[in-house]
Amino acid sequence: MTEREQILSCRPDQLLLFHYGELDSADRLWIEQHLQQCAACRAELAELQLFLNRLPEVGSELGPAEVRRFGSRVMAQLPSNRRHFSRPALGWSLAGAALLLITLNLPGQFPSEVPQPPKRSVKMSAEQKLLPDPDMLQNLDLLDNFDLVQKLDRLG
Amino acid sequence: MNPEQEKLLLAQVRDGNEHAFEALVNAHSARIIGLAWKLVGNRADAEEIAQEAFLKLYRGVSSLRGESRVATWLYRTVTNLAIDHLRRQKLKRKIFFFRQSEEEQDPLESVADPAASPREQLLAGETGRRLARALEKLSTRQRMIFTLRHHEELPLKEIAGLLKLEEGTVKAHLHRAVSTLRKELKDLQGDQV
Repeated sequence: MTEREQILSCRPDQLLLFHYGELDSADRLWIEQHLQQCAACRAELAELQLFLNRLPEVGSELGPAEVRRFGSRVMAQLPSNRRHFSRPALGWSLAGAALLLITLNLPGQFPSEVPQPPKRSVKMSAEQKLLPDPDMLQNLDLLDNFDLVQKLDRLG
Repeated sequence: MNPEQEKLLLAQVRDGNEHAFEALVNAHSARIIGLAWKLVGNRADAEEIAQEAFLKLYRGVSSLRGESRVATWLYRTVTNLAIDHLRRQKLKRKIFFFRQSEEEQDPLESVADPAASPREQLLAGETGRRLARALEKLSTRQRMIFTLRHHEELPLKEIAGLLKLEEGTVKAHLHRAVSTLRKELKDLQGDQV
């Protein structure tokens, strides 16, 4: 058996798990015993460990001042703190808009409570429905002189 | 912070106490930003991801009950946010850069980070840059698993739980990740350094 074949039969993935301490006790014992007999696996494990130990760290730890700065940044994003910023801005915006409307004399363009024409027109149309004959409305003035008409009729 | 202190703070946060939340942020932020930094490879994105994770914690604090630890919850959230971030980054690069070869360096990476401290600049040396490029050769999942196991020293069982994968799948990804890195960084092996 060549060294390469020996390594394959030894399962290098087990060496990786052995390095990271991820084997259960039975497998770990098996590997430890195997390493005592297998020079190829010993060399492979040494090479693997050298490689992994040479890998540099990525990133670095934040100092206390950086942690505080980050904390403040997160706190500023909380909904309650964001409202604190927006409330005065909203108030000033509304005040400005009101002042502008007064200056331009625009309130007249908004509906007022005084005339209420739609309600009145609804009532009138209801009254019209109650009348049996709309043509009678044209002769309502004659009713004011109804008594006189009757007297003239009696006198012949 | 011990579990009892943490439970007390969580209860206070649920009652609307923002100082309690700030205490949680200060207790966990160094580690959480460090994790995000390792996962995505740069500090600015790492801080964005960490911030998003803490805001998610604040919004979802009522759902964090029982034995759930804040650190575990944050680890899971940051890992998921980092996966999304890396996938978006890969997609962006495919769309915008049209690099002729995967070997070619991303132009954004060659720009020095103006916010980097001298220590950071030292850490971001040639080997660090080469490792960053080699990590990009891995699939997002392989990169997560390798970083969580190698740099964060999380047990594979815990990684499997975080990523909702079978432990055997995690082992296979780790093995493939290390094989790729060894191939990409051949000169870090043996006596060639």
